[in-house]
Amino acid sequence: MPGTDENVMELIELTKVFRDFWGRERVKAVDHLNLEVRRGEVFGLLGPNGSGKTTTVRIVLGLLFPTQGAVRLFGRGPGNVDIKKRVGYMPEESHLYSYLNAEETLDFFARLFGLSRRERQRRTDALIDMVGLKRARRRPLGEFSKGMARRIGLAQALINDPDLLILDEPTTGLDPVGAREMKDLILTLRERGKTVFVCSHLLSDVEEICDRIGILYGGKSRALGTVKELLTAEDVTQIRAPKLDKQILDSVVKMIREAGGADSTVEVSSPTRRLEEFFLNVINEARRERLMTAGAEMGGGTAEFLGKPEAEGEALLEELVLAGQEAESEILDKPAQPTPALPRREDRAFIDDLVSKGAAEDGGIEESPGTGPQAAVTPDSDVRDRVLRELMDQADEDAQDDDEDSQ
Amino acid sequence: MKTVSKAWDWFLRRMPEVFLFLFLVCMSPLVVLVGRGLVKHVVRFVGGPGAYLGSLSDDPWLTAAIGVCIAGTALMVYVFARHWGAIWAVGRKTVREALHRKVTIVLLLFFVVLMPSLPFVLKTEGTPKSQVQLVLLYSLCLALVLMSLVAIFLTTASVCSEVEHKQVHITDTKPLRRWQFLLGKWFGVVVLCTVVLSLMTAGTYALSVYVAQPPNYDEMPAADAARRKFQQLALAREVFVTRRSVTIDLPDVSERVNKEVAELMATQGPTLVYQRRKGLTKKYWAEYQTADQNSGIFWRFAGLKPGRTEPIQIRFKAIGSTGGRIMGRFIPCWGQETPMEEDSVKARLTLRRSDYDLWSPPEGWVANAFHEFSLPARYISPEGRFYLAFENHSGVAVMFDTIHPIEVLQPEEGFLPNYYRAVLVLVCHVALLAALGLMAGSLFSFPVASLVVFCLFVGGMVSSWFYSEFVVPTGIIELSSVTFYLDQAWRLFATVVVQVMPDFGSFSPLGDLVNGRLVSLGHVSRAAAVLVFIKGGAALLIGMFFYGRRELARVIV
Repeated sequence: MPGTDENVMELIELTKVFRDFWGRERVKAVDHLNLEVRRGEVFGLLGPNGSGKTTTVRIVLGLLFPTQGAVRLFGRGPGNVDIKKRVGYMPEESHLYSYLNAEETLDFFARLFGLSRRERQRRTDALIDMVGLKRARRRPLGEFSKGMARRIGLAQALINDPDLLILDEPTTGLDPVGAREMKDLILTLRERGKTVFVCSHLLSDVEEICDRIGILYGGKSRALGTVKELLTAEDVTQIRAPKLDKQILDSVVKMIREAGGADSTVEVSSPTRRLEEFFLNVINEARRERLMTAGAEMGGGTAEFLGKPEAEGEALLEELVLAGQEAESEILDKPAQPTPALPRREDRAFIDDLVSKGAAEDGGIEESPGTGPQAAVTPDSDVRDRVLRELMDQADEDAQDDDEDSQ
Repeated sequence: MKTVSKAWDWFLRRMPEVFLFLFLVCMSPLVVLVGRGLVKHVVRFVGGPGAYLGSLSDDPWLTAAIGVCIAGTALMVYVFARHWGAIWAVGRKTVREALHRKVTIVLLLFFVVLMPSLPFVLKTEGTPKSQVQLVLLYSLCLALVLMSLVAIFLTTASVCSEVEHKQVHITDTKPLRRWQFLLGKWFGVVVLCTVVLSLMTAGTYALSVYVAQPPNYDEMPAADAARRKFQQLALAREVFVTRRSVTIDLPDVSERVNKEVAELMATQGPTLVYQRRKGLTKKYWAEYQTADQNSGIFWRFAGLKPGRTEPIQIRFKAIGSTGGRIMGRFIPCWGQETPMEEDSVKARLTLRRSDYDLWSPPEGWVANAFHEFSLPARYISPEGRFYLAFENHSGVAVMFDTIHPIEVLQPEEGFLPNYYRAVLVLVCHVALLAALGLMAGSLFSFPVASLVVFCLFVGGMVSSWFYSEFVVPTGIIELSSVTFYLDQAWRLFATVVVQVMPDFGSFSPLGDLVNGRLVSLGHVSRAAAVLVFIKGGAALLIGMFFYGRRELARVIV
């Protein structure tokens, strides 16, 4: 479900200055940041370490107070308890209680939302199943690995079936299976109408799941827009086709060169599988053979209650929200922001199939220098990553220019 | 085996609820006591509303304390009822955390090991009474100190570690108000400490009953058996009992004192007014409390309960003018209330003496020590008055103490209700320390917060002494203006500090408890009003204020 114009989160001229004991300015972590996150979209906040991402998230959550500017969540301040009922937050590291087990942890957080005993039990069971900790549900969190703690951190963020999910570095500490599941979950939640705000510096993750991104550097916003807008390389054309004969390939290359393409800009190669996909295939194979693991298992699919409120209050809220959405969809024929083309599970299976055939039959194709069979990026993501890095480098240079100017 | 392990798991998980249940069990007698008190008040009110309302002003501080307790309890019930889900969610987690930290269990074990060894370690006079008194006093002190440390440690560590380990980053993003978080923590610690303190005090009670067991008299020589029986009787009458204390009112001598101080200032110039005043007051009171050689002294007591059959006890401390032992006899007197001249001590002996008297033991009473003896209850008049005379045969003048004047102790009820009320006062101490711990935890990081509350705890123990030694005016007149204002500023500051500080000393029920004196529900009300509702409430509010305005993602060092 693409984004709509209603803003779930608004940052208005947000500034955060950290001062020392004597009140002297030590660091300006966030600098006049303006940002809007729209209902139903997945927004990614990118930036290198120390760029102000986490500070921004903490201000949004009311854990830090802005020096200047304001934060609006669902049109209200972040300290409002009613707003907190609609927000889920998974921090960068799972700061949980080591003496509670997985069940007790989720039960504790569910109690804070005033859920009934039965509902607490239902959601706890569903989430533990979803994050693949069924076997470890009675183990104290102190004994959990980092990845398992991240999983329970995710589960607690979803206990209230939030409308806005804020994830700080969601895939950090997760194994590739967990990371894949996390990304799938985010996409599923988006499909169910939830808004997700992701903070990350893992470019491939952000690129894969986000509708819009913002890039922070030095606390300032350096780029903001849809992934497609920002990552489309207008001066490059890419053709994908089934395996071609060498003759046809040569003639296609010849045609392109005749059409004016310089030698250096034309590149022919067979696509390689991404390491993530390869890894997932291996793991799935192992699972089919029923090998045991002591740690986290594969998640049991998105918990049913997520996005399907049953409590009376939540149902009412949902009705209101849906009514608002319907009214909007009547006014707007199409969503304000186009949905970027993201690979769905079925598409991926098809691609996997295609890719594996291509790799098996690989032989006579002329390989471009530097693109070996181990390069674990598709040409598509390669280009996008390069553009993204260029954007960040540009941001870096801008910031340096700014610093020089100010000096 | 699997069933047992499952049951054990269930028990561990349900531990907070078990503690809550035990807490409610511990508090249930209080409900009965308060209910009983309320019924009495209602009956008195219905009997005569005017007289009842008039009687409220007899002891305005008690009335105020009861008012504070009623208002505070009502507020607490309202807040807890409205926010029970959030408060208990935090509270039960606090109990789990406390059990996980094991400090409570370790201290409980420490107590269990240390307490039974007390009767063997402590040196006493050797009488069962002194032994039981010491067991009670030391064990309860030990329990109070240990639980105070637990309350301080748990509250400060709990808040500070959650901030430091960033767990609040998650809890604060849930719909949990920050004051609910602190109140939940306070409640959790109070529940835990109350239950553990109850276990400790129950153990102390069992030990004191064990120590007080009479020996097998058949195996003892007759003289020893008789002496031991007498000692056991004293134990039953003076320790394992609850006695209402009625003492004499010392006369108002301020006019005489003022007159003399004015004369002194006129003749001798600047003087230490306060100390002079104190000394003169003591001197004039002593006049009323001194029996000359071969003469006597007379007291009247009012407010005793007539129609009781249990013997009453007289408790006194006296000193002879040359030290030595006190010889003489006490004589209860019959009589009606007749107007008496305040300054005529001898005239009071004209009342009719009873046929009963009590002579000092052959070796006399030891001077400057407390002594108790029993008298039959029949000397109490139907109006609840009692008259007592002392005939001095010491050969020197004998002065009865004016700081702890002679008192009549009338048995009121068994020991257990009194013990329970004393424990309630100890719970109030712990509740205040928990509130102080949360306040400090909201302001400082862990070791600093604990240290601050520990200092407050120690300060609270000695604040009465500190006040009398350093704050009470010495009243030096003729000071230069700068010194005078500095002196005044210091006194004002120190008075405020002492008033604000937790005052554990003056509310301690242990002295009364071990002497079989009534620790009244009024005393418990005063302790609850001051320690829990006023000072504890203020500490919690200060903590909530600062915690609510704090940037939780910034760690205070």
